[in-house]
Amino acid sequence: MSQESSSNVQDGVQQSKDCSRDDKTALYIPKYNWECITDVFVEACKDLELGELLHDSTFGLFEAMSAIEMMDEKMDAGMMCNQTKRPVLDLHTSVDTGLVKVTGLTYPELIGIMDSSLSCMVTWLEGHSLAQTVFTNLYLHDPHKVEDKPLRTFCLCKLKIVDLLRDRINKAGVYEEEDFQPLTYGFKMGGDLTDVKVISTMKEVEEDLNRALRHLKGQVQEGNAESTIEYQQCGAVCTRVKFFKGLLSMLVALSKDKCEGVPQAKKLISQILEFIEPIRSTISLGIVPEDREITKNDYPTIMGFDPLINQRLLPPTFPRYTVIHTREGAISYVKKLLHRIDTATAVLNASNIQEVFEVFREFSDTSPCVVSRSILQLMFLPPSRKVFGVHTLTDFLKDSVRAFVMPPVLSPKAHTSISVEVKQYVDSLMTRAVRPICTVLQVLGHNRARQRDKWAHLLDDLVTLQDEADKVDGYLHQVQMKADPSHQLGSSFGTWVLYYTIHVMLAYTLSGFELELYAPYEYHYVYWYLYELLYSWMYSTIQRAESFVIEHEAYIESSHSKKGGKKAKKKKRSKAVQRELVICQAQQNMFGGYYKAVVGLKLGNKLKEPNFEFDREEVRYSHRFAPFGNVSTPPLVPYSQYKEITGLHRYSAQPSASDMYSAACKYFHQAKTLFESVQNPSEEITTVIRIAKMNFVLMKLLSGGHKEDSKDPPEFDFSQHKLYPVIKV
Amino acid sequence: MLQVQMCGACTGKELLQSWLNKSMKIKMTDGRTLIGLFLCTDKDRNVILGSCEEYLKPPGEGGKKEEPRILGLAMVPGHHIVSIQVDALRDVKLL
Repeated sequence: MSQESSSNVQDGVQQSKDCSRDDKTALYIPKYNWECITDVFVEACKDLELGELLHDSTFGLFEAMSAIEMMDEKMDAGMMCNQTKRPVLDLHTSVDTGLVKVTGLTYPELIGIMDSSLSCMVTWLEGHSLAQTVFTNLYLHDPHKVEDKPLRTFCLCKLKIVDLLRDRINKAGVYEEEDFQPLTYGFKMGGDLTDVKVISTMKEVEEDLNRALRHLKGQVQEGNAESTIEYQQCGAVCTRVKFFKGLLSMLVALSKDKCEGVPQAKKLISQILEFIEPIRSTISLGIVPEDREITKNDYPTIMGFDPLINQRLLPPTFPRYTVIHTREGAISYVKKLLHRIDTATAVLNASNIQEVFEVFREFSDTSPCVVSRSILQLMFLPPSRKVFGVHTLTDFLKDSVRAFVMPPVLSPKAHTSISVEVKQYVDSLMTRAVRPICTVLQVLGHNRARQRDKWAHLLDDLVTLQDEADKVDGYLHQVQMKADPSHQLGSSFGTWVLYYTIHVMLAYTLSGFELELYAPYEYHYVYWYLYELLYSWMYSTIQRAESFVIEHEAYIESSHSKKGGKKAKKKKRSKAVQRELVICQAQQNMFGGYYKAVVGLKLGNKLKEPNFEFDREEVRYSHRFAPFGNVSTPPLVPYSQYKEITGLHRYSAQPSASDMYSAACKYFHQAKTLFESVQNPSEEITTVIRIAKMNFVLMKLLSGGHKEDSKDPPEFDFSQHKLYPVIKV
Repeated sequence: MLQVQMCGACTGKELLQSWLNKSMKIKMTDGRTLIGLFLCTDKDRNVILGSCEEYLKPPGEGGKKEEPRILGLAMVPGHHIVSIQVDALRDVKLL
């Protein structure tokens, strides 16, 4: 045991003896005074009882649970058996020992490195960590050490692209841990150069390569056979340089705060798409990895890449194995990604929140990737918190309310006549509406599996907003009664909020089908709730809103003698509303058909009831619709009421299965007719028409007695549409 | 460092408790060294260390300063412990 004297006390500066100063970091690193207690410890532990834990009061079993167990190969990533036998060298050592080249790279080497980097980046975008994907490329650890100009510039460009993507995804905030890993492990992302500088250097490299190409072309024309291959390789490198330069430029354009760069981004996307096939066809020209032993976390790579270089940086959880995309797979992924981003730019055409909502819903339906979801969110609401970078949120919401429901107080002609107090109430409501409405749009930015829970939580906020909207409507009604009792006001603001509330309730309920949560014996109450309640409220809400708009327009025209000149705009709006109403009614009829069908199948003893010991339908029903408990409009229908309303005893003559099937027939037929009346039907509507037809036919057959005695359970086939199954018996 | 001598009459439990929340260095059977705060133990000498760092070579030895791997909360099974050392703080106040 060291006998370090305590005479340092006399110095008055205790730290100079006890701590050592690390000049580089100016941190005081404590110097330990280790004392061996192995034997004493072992002896002391014998005093403990079996199962007794010794710890202080702040430490408990809950904390102990999360400790990683050392020497367990499933949890200890640092164990010998989880470590590799081969040497893992960093960039500098690799260069010094000649294993990794930084000058004089051949074209095949460049092609291989660029394609492998792209594969790594795509793997990262699918949710893996940067340490095990992008930064397995050693060149990216220190691009300035790379003397070869094309490679160095490519590395900087790559870092910039990764940094921009990371920034966009972080700012949008619509990712979960399964979507994306934001950790950068302290790696530098070329921050010492501007994006513009990197793009212009890529242009220089492109021009150098073009010169080389022209030279090689000359040689090929002279009949030099070797030059043909070199010409192809050089062309392949040049195409890739143009591709990555375009990708970086596009991301820079998209990140402009006022969304002014979006048209340019669209142009760049179509340019970059032209390079996809040339790249794909030249992947084979790149160097490929030599064969090497494949273990759990180690795979063969080309020069400059090492899968294990960052092992020490990974969190101490169980070892994670990342499978890197193939080069062909990566370029296909990028092609689809570019198309998704292009589709997302359409949101800029929206003129109110309802239209943005529609764009977001359609986009989310396609289950897009985290990058495109994030870009869409940021196009709608950039970090400046202005819609499309231009409008303030409250103004945009006011425009939306105006378009949906035209409350007289927001009418453009009403400015002079409203009092300061009224204006204050309305402004305050709009300000309060910002958060819930923006959250609706943000939830649509998350991956499909996560949305259901978020819808449930959002309902609470919407209920509060509904209350406030109703209060404002009540106040406006009073004011109006005093001013002009002959002209009554409707509940405009309340209707607008209700529209979103019902949409959220619908989204929540329908997500249960998409996530395959409902068992077939639950379908009857789910379908009933959709058809009898949610869709009928939705229909009446849209209709009521439309009637307010028409009423207001009539009022304006009668009080001001001149005719409004916006006939075309009015027509377009009312056509859109009619379309929405028709689709809503058609959907209601579909679910009505399913409801009758399921009741019929139950009566026909084809649909089995569950018979578990602790099962109660009432509990299941209440659980499924629990988030609707706080909503006052429309109020939750309690189970007892549901049973009463749907009880078959209410019919004068007990209906048979056949009666139910016939009723279902009518609903499916009506749904089909309504959908067929929609102008320019989407592919989805065409599919649903087909499904309605098939179900109609089956219901017809069943009502005629087909398979009456069969006890085979029906099959609900969701393969054609995730919400509307094809029923098969 | 006077603790062990002073506690000749302490029970094993009291001794163990005196070490709680102190820095501890454990050498494992595979040659790795862990340094962390001693948080918990039991009869079988399974030890839980907090803010634990893992060194492949014993720190302080060898020329180059090794970057430890940060583990956080780690549990070492008793039968994998070769040696235990504790940081004997002096009872003087640091500035």
